[in-house]
Amino acid sequence: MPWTKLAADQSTCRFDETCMDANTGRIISYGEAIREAIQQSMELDSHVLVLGEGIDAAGFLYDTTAGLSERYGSRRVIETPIAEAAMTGVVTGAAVAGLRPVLMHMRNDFLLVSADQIVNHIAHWQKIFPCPNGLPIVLRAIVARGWGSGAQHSQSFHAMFAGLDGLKVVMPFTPYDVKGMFLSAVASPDPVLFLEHRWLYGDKAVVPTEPYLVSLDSAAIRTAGGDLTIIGMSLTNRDVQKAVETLQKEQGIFAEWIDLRSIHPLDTKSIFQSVNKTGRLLIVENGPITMGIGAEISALVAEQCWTCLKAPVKRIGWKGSTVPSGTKLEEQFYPGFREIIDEGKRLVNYGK
Amino acid sequence: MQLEQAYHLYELMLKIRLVEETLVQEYPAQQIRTPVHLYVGQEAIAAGISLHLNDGDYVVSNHRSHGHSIAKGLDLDSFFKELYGKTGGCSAGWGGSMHLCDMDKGIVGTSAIVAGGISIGAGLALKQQYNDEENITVIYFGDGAVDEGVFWETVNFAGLKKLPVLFVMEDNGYASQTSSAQRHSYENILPIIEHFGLMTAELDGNDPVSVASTMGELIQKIRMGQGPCFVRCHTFRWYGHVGVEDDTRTGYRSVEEVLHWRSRCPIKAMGKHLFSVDPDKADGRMKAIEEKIAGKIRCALQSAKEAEYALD
Repeated sequence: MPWTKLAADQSTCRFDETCMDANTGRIISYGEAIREAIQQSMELDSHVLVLGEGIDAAGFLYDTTAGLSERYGSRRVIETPIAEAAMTGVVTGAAVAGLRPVLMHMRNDFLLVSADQIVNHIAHWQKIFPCPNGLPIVLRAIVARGWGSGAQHSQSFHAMFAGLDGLKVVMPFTPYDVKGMFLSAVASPDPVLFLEHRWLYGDKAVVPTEPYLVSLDSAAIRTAGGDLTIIGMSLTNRDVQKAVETLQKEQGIFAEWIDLRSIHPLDTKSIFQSVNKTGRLLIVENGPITMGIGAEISALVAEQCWTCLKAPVKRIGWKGSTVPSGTKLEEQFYPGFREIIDEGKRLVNYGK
Repeated sequence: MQLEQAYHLYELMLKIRLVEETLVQEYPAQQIRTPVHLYVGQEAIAAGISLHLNDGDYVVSNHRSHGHSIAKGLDLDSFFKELYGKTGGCSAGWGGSMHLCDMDKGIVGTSAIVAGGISIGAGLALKQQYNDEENITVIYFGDGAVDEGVFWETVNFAGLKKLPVLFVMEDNGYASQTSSAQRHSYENILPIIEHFGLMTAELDGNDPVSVASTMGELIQKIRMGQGPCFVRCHTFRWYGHVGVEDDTRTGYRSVEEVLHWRSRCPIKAMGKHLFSVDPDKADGRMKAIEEKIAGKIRCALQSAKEAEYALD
């Protein structure tokens, strides 16, 4: 759709995976990296099936599933009715029986139609029933923003699903990570909620041609620094990156930028290590502040790093849980890199 | 129906009945601390189906799952231990009465959310179809589950993909204490289901011989790839929705209705059938079957009582 493309392309990320260079891969986009990961997962393992509404129809889920049915047939690439609840049960049964299904949703908002299957069934299944095959399910869903998408097409449910023992939740930010983490999600014996951001689809970086795995339970330290820890997730990493660079150039403040990547489980080791070093923490939520993953991180840091804190933990995020549609309302609703810079300066100067 | 098969059917039904009557006796001692939803009165359905299943066939069940699981081969030892919350329980103490399982027997799990297991069953069948197996998946649910949207979504998907599923609607007339008339805008669900391309059948669920023979034919058709089938089985639960009391006094159903259905006991009907087809030996063989089951139950119960509580 033109509005999503417009929104996605309006700013591109300048971030490149630091461990990569032109010799180890080629430059492709986040969206292309997902497509490659899906295709490679199917090539690698005949137990991998993909299902979803729109995956084998014009549009091909923003082009991420194009060409799959020609290559793997309709037995493995299953265009489904718009029946999120039943299809989530179907992938659960298929996984219990030994397949590795991937269910795809065009918007993560649609996940809630299948909340009974995710919360009451998938998240408990391995605890209450012996699962010799594990429960290898990937629920792939896209978080969107902008162009007036409004209340039911712009939400981000990473935190809502992060409290379930039996479900991993990840939000990859870079083209490199989205490929490696998708392959890890398919490879995982546990169910994974895989949240992509529509605005990241145009971001380009060097991505290896070969399949590879990126951990599902570790954060990435994108920039090392000693003055302040800033945690970003998914799209908010863009503003965090910009803010970290600006703080350094203009203020001489060296912030440590953590890309959370994994929402559940949290990489508490990396977070605590960084906060113990810097004594200051700013979390930039890709969602409402209230009950966000930032709230959980704040509580954990208060429990574990109390004596190291030099300033109160600060959270930045959406102004509320209902995303507005109007252009100016939208602009007011989302925080930007300026707020990160302001809060970063305030934290460093706290008590001075 | 062949004679040995008839005795087997009788044994499966009696096993369910005696196990649940044991629960009724033991429940007041408060050592079985899990809500039980008894299957007494409905035994012919699970037994008549399981007669035709093997370990490669899956069953998915609901909160009223004792009968479905025992008929499919759930070990009594692990069953009682699970209900007592002891080590050696089929779900290691994490499940209780509403979450029975035995993957080796094809009892993959049971959902206590009404209609929650139905779509999971379709997924199991998708794998059977994907692997070109002749195995099938049986999905048990009550007349309450057909009120749920996910039921209709699953029927549609099963019809669309011609999945090897036997949908078994155990129509006992009540969703908890709410009658079908209070919930359904239609009289008969079967013509609606037929529009989805499913084979359908309507059965007296308290007639074990008829249930067993019809189910045998339908299961064979599903194995041969003729697609999913939906069977509505009319039946009645003798006890209350939950627990070991008869909740008729609460007023949602009449004493006459209960007495009518109790007079149509499927196990007595099967006994009568055996007497008619095997008059010389039926009495002795039925007594021997009863003694064998009672002995197994005694051992399993004792073993559950003596076992250690499951701990994390």
